[in-house]
Parts: sequence; C-alpha cells; structure tokens
Amino acid sequence: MSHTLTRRAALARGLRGILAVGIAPQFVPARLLGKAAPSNRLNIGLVGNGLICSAHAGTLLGLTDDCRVVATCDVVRAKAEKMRDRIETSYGKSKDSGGRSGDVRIFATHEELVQRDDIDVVFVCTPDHWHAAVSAAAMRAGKDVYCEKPLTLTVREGRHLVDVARSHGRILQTGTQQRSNKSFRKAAEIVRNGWIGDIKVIRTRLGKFPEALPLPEEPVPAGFDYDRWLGPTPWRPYNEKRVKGDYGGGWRCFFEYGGRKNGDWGAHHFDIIQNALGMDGGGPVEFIPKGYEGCAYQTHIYANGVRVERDDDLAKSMIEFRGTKGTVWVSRDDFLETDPAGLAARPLRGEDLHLYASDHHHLDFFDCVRTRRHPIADVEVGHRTATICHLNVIAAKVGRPVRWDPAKEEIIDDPLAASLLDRPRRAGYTLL
Amino acid sequence: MNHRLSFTLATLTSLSVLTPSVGHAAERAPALAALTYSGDQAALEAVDRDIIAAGRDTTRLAAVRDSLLAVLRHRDATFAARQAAAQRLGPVLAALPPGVRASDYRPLPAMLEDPRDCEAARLALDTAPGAVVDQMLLAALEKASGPHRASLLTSIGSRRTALAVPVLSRLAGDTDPVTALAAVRALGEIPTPEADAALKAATGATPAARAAARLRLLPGLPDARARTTLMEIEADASLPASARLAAFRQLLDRDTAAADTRILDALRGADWERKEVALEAITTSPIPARISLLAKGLSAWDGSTQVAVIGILARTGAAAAVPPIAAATRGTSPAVRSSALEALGSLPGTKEIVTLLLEAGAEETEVAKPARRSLARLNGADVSATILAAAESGRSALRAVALESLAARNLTEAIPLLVRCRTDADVAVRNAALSSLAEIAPSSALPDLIAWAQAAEDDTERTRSIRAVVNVILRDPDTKRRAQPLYAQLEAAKPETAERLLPALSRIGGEPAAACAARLANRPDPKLAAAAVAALARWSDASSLSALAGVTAEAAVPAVRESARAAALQTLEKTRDAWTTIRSEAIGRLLGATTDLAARRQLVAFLARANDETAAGLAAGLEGDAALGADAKYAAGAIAANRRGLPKARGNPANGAGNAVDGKTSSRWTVPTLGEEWLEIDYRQSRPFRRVTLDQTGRAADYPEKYSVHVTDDPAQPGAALVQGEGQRNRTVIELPAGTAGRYLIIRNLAERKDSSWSVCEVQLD
Repeated sequence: MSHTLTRRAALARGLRGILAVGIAPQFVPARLLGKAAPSNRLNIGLVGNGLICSAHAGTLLGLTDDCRVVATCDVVRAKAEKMRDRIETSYGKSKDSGGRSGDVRIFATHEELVQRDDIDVVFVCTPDHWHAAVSAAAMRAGKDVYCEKPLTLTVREGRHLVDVARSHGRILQTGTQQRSNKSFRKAAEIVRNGWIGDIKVIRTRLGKFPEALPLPEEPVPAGFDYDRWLGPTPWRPYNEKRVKGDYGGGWRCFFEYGGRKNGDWGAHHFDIIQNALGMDGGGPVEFIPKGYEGCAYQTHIYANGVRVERDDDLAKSMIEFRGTKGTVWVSRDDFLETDPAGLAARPLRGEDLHLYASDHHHLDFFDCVRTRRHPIADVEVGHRTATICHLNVIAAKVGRPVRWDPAKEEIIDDPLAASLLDRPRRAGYTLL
Repeated sequence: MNHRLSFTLATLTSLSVLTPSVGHAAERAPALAALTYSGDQAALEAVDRDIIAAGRDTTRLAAVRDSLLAVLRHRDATFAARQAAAQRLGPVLAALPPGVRASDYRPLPAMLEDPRDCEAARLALDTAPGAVVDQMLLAALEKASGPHRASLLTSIGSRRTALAVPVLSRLAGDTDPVTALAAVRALGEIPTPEADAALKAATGATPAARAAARLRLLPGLPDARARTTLMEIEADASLPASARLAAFRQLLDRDTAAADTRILDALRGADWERKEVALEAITTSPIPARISLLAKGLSAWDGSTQVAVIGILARTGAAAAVPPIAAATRGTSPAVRSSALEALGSLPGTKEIVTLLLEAGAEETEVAKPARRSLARLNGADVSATILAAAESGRSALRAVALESLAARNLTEAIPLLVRCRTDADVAVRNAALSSLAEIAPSSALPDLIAWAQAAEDDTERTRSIRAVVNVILRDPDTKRRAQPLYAQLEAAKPETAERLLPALSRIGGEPAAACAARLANRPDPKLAAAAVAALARWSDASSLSALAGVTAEAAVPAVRESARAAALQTLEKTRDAWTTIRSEAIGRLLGATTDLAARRQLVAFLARANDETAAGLAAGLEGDAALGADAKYAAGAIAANRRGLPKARGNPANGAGNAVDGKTSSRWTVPTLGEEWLEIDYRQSRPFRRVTLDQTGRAADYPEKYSVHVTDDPAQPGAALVQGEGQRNRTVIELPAGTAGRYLIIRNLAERKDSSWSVCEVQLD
C-alpha cells in the first residue's frame, strides 16, 4: 500500500504539525509538505459502484485535492471489480513506472467496508432505498459521508440520519450538487435579496419516467447478491429491468426504491428552491396532488403563501421564480436569465445577503471534513429537501392534500398519510 | 411486481374523485387473490382507488380493511396477492381504531407464525396501533426461531414495544447470533431505562453492537440516566473509538454544564479524533457563551485548531468573535492569518476592520486574496463610507485595494470618483479604478473610458481601459446603438490612435463592429489597414465575412486585400454553424474579387455547405467554367440535397442519433465502443460525397476504434465498404473516392475498445 501513514493514523497519533496542513488545505500551499503528504489525504470507500458512482469516480480521479479511493463495494461483484480496475489503472498511470497501483480493496458488504480503520470518507452511491442504512452505518463507524440524492427513501430516515450525524459528530454532504453551481447560487441570491420583489409562484420541471410495468421472474445472475440489493424493501422477484441503473428508468421507475421524478429531479430543484426561499431548516406546510379539485400542477405551499408548482412542460428553464417585480429562470449548463435583464451580472453589495459559496461540491465536502464545518448540503439540508420529495409522493398516493408541520415534522390530522412517513423494513436490514 | 402495486401517481391522483360504494371494496377479494407479479394489475389498482375514495371516512376504510383481510384469508391467494394486500392494509389499519382482540386481525396472527408470510404480515402490522398487535407479535415470537424470529424482533423494535423488554433481554443473550443481534437492535429502539439496563447486561451480539444500541435509545432517556450511560460507554476501552467518541459527543449535549470545559480540554489536547468531534459540536451548537469562551481562548491553541475554530466562529456571525480573530490576522502563521482574514468578511464590520483588510489586501502574499474577498462582503454601518474614503486618498497601495473593492461591493455611487482617477498621477491607482469601472460603469461613462483608452501609455492601463470599454458596451442591452461612440471615435481618430482602440472591435463582435473595422481597413494607411484586417481575422464567428469580402474587393492597399481574402477563407473553414445567405453573398463577392485559382476552388468548395438559392445560383453559374466546373457541379449536387432540410439519422444504439445531424456541436450521439455500433444518415435524396468529418468536439478520445463507411441508395443492401480506417482524436476525417454518391451514409464501428465511448457531435460534409 502506498498510503502507509494515513490521515486517520496521523489523527490517532496526534501529529499536529502535519495536521496543520491537512486541516486547512485552502490556505496552506501543498508544497509545505508535498501535495501527497499522507496525513493530508482523505481515504475514500465507494459503496454502490454503478452509474452514478462512475461519475463520482471520474470526478475524484480528476481532483487535485489529496484524496484517494481505497475500497469499493457492490452487490454485483463484477461492478466492484470493474470500479477497482478503473481506479487502480488510473492511479497506476500517474506513477512513473506505469501499470496498476494494486491497492484498492473490494468488500461484499458496506458493513465490512466501514469497519476499515484507514477509511475517512464513504461515498454512498447505491439506489435510494439503501442511502440511509449505509450512511448511518458509516457515520456510526466514525466516517464522514457523501450521500447521493435524495438523501433518503422516507421522511423518518432523514431525521434518523440527522440524529446519527449530530450524535456522532460526523459530516455529511448530500449529493445535491446544484447548490455548488454559481448560476443556481446567483438565482437564489437574487431571490433572497428581493431583486424581483416578493415571490408568489415558483415553477419547476421534473420530467417523466416511463411506467413501471409488471415484470416476470428471471434467474438471478451469478455474482449478484439480489437479496441484499432489495435490502429493506419488500421482496420482489428478480428481473433485470427492476435493478437496472438507468437515468431514464430502471429501478428509478419503482416507488419501492425511490420517489420517481420527485425523488430524482425534485431532490435537485426543490433543494434550490429551499435555498432561495431561506427555508433550509423548514419546509412547506401543504402538499396538493395534481388533479385534486382541478389543481393543474402538483403543488406545495409554504407558510407565507409561496406556491411551488411542478410543470413538466416548463420550456425555458428547469426552475422559474416569479416575483412581483420580475422573474428568474435558471437551469444547468449555467443558464441564468432575468427579467429585468442584468440582474445575473449585478454584484452583491456588502449589505446584501451573501449565500454560502461553494463552487465544487466534492471539494466543499472535503474542506468541511478537514475543518468540521457543516457543508453546503449538510445532512439537515438534505433531509429537509428529501422530505419535500417524499411528501409530494405521499400526497399523490393518498389522493388528497397533506398538511405538514415542518417544526414537529408531522402530518396533521391524517393518520393514513402519516403512516407513510416511514416504511417497514425487512429483517436483517434495519437502520441500526 | 410493478410500482402499480404501491400506487401509481397518475392513476391515483386522477381517480381521487371517484367514490365507489362500500360494497365494491368487499367484491375485490376474489380478483385480487389471483394477483401475480407479472400479470394484470387491474384488481390492485381498483383497491388503490378504493383507498383514495375512502379518504378519511373510517366506515369506508373499515370496508377496505375487511376486503383486504378477506384477500389474506382467501384459500387460493397467491403470495403476490397476500403481500400486496398486506402492504395496503398497513396504512388503512393506521387510520382506524385498534382492534380489541387478535381475531379482529385474522389471518394476520397465523401469518406471523409462518416464516414467509411473516414478512408480508409485518407490512400490515408495523404501523398498526394497539397493544393487541404487540401481543400478536410477542405470541408469534415464542414459536419462531432463526431469521423468522429476527423478522418479528424487527417489528417489535420498530413499534418500540416497551412490554417486550423482558423477552428481548432474554433473547439478547441467545446463542443464535442472528437472534441476539436482532434482539439487541430491537432494544435499541425502545427508549426506556429498562431497555438500557437490558443492553448493559446483555451478553449476545458484539460489544460494539450493544453500544450502538444503547447510544440509539439514549435520546429518550432522562438526562441523569443518559449521562450515566454515556460516561460508561466513553470510559469503556474495549469499545471501538467511534462508540466512545459518540458518547463524548452526546455528553456535550446532555451535560451542558460541563460541555464547555470538555470542549476546551479536547481543543487543548492531542487526540485529534476527539478534537474533530468537539469542533463539530461547536458547529452544531454555537451557543453565545461558548462562542465568547472560544474566542477568548483562540490564541492559546495550535495553528490547526485555530484555523478550524476561526472558520466555525465566522459562520456564527458573532460580534464577540471579531477582536480575537482580528488579533489572529497579525500572527505569523500564514494559515491562521488567511483563515482569520477570510472569517472577518462574515462578521460585523467596523472602520478598524476595513483598515485591517485594506492593509492585508495590499500585501504581496497569499493573505491578500482572502482579505480582498472579505472586503467585498463585509457588512457594517461605516464600512462602505470607510472604503470610499480610503479609495479617495491615502497610501497608494491601500487606495488601489479600496478602489478595486468598490466594484466587488457594487458601490455604483463611487463611479464619479472612479472616473476622476483617470487624472491621478499614480498608475496603480488608475489601473485599480479601471478594474472597477470595467465591472460597474454605466453607458454614460463610455466617452470617458474611450478617451482614457486612447490616451493610455502604460500597457496594463491600455489593456484595462479597453476591457472597460468593451464591458460597458456589452452590458448595454441596446445592441444597435451601444457601440456608436466607439465607432465614431475610431473613424475620427488619427491612425495611431485608432490602432490602439482596434482590439475592442473583435471583442464586441457582430456585423456593425466588423463594418467599422472594414472602413478602417479600406483606409490608405497600410499599418492601420493591416491591423484592422488582423482584428477581423480574430472574429469568433462568421459575422465578419461580409466585411472581409468588402475589404478583399475594395481595400486601397493590395496587401490588405490579400490578407482579407486569407482571413475570409480561414473564417469559412472554421465556422460550421448554420449556413446563411449572407455567407453565400460573401462568397460571391470574394469570387468576384479573386483571381487566384486555388483560392477560387476553395471558395467553390465552401459552397457545398450551403442550402440557399444564392449559393445554388453561384454554383450553377460556374458549372461551365473550365477550371471550376467540376467543383461547381459537386457543390450544386450538395446544395440541392442540403436544401431538402436537415438529414435524418438512426443509430445502433438508437439513443440520440439525431444529435449527430442537428447542426449543433453542443449535442452528441454517444455509445459504448463495443464494435457493433453504426450510424445511418438519410440525406433525403441522392447526393455527392467527397469528405466526411466526424466531429467529437469536447470528447477528444471518443473516436471510433475502427470504422467503415458505406454510401448507398439502399440501406438494406449497402454493399461493400468504400473505405475503412482507424478513428482519430478530436475529429475523424474520412476521404471518400471520387464520384461517390448516394442517399444514405452509413458509418460503422468495427472493433471494441474497452470502457470507452464513441461520440459524434456532428457529421460534417465537404
């Protein structure tokens, strides 16, 4: 292993001098100890080695930050091996001698991976139904966590994760990386500073998944721990289409494993809306399903009357903020337009509200791991946004408006809907 | 089973207004009992509609409940049906008053006793209220073993059944590790002192699992009891460090009287894992008294701790943090200084802090950047006035920092001051003012900025003043008139002065700016004319073409005409966006002004990209030309096909094949390089082919591993490949044999390249 003196080991030994570099990478030039000083290094374990993990691996392998993937883990052994091979090949190429680095280990379960002493950080890249259990296990084992969005499968899982993070002193970054995008931040700052007046309506486009069709049972492929893939969710017969990782469908179509588009794109766009409205510690008070008494859009409403409408035909942008004095349109690929024009380029004044500025979601996380500050998409932020996703799903399921108390985190006067705030878990796959 | 089993959004919401009678619910049972995971889901969807229609009406919900229990009792009910019915029963039972006896839930008690059905029954019972359900689970527990028992224990835990603690206590010492672990975890869900005591005494599962369970239940315990447990865990050296640290962390919240002392001890200590947890606790609970305490002790800690605490204090925005952090900016550690300077921007600002930041911002060290960032966002009653005053007069270095921060703070009231700086004797001051003007000056300042640029002698000053001119123009939404003062000044100026302003034109871009450059290029001064053509050659798009054609035809200086033609050819080559008639007209003018045969052939070749009548006319007119006829004929054939509209594409894999022929390099067709991919493009009519370029803009390595190309009128029988070759980085250029023609172009990738993709942003023909 090339990282014989890990940061964790250095922490344990109390090498304060070395830590001076590790804890403030943005201020201290790496040259003081060399960029790859082992104590400055964050060792990473990747749990879930499919589609989204591949994107993270690409980012992590390209970072100049001193981090290193040392472990992979997937219910499909071949995926874990492929990810290991990619990482080792990449690290090997960076060596003068060429070839593979040979120091990435594969684990069959996340429980084994999080017990590794030399891992500082766990990336949770599983389907949604595993996010909470893996994140909680990692934090209980003393790791910090980057968890893909939406943070959870249920509202109750979210509060549990916040409690675990706080009670164990851990850092968790939710994978809602739009928060670390300049255009989304600027849109939120325009709204927060009142440049387009009072916000009345916000529209957002989430898109549509194909229907999840009934699936016949197929043989479980060799090397696939399907029971573990199902994890806490009810047993279902195996079918390749059920488990497929596909941004346009696959497991994302099934409510058993996520919130469909509410959990998928809603986790991003509702998150930006929460930020723009200054509601990171709270949330809406009512959720109305599309079609209820003629309601044209799935809608959630904040206590101050601001309505958020899901308009999947919204053409101009992913999110549209409409205020009494103007409109802001914002999308990915740095699309930001305003009416009146020019607001996007207007600098903030000293007395204006400046939002937490992160320009790179991974680096913000690593910075906070080293300094113990809460990252831009802290666990509470991720939980509150995921709650909006889940409550929109619940309102649609019960077919009526759901009233919500964001302070108590309870559904008001609707025990049937309230029972959907969590889901029964199969034996062996509890949160603890 | 598909997601319809767990309600579909579309179905449920659209049917929420239906109100089937109570009787309907009871009729569902036989149909639902036959449910399979892959068959017709109509019966299940009907149940979902019943649940929605029942709303909060307990009578109707009770009817649904009875219907679902009937499904569970049905002798021939499939497992899929029992599972689906139980899953829906859960929320329904949660909305109804609890039963008074186990038989009210028949057949769920029996299902709990069956290892497989138990998992389904739990879906119904986990959220069902009432002690009867608890008793049902406990009764089943007595008869179960192994994973079945663990399943029941999971429900007992999730229901937080306090009366189960004695049983769980016993099972937590069971010799079966699965049972013992499940019992320990169930105890961890029950927030009572008895459960905690049971866990403390338990012998099953691992010490770490027992500690985790105790930590889990603690939030529900009284403070005194919780503190005792936490101290036990913290002191237990046999436990993993993470458990002991968690106990330490929770004690900081539970034992508030001692928390600050414990935090300070941790920060002073050498145990960095403990220090990490203490720092997170401060982040989470920035109590004012704690902030003051930390601020006072700041200087006593090592540099790393100071950096971390400073960052945390900054997030609090507490005024008490300002003095010690300001003091930290004067230390010797660059890391501490930088973090302190960065932090000040988030804390209440004063005149003194402004001065401190200006001084640091003027340093030629790495602390300057955080100091300037803080100046940009510092907030306080006197902050802006102090910065303005510092920009007006004082030490040059500090004035420069203050002047640059004016734009960062959007202090538009400072614009007169910034403009006045033009006459300042100090070039550093002038340059700093220009930096700010570039960001915030309005259009009314344009004449001053143009004059500034014309007169600037210092290189940096000239560059910055031109940047300011350009920025001001581009910010103005009145695209027709915004640059007129610049054009007027350019054309009225002496050659050497006009030359100084020329770089602004290509940055502004567009046809009006190009026309202005052309007028300068047509003037007799050879140096100015050459500079003007050079500027036109730097245009980022084809909007300079007309101007270049005009200069080629009309420039007073022969060498300028030559360089204008070369620039026009270069522009035509590099711009592959949508063709316009303006481009055809420019080619017409260029042909008229060009005698060089090679250049004329190039111009005719570009016509093959066109799709308009002007181009068609040009090509037709040249078909009889002895030297250009063949090229013109090729162009005419290509133009005719182009005029049929954008081609159609299909691919294998199919996803996004149209992106390869949509005229935009910002979209692409990307597929894994497996050796069996193909792209087929239909140009809507037979057309000639000479060169095909596969543009992979931005995806340099996404080339085909080994390609073959077919051109045919019958894609079902494309015949032999015309050419084969290996893909190239960035763009793959494929030359085809002379005389190639057909309606369809088929490109295949014939070889695998592991873990790689083949991307085509645009298929371009020449």
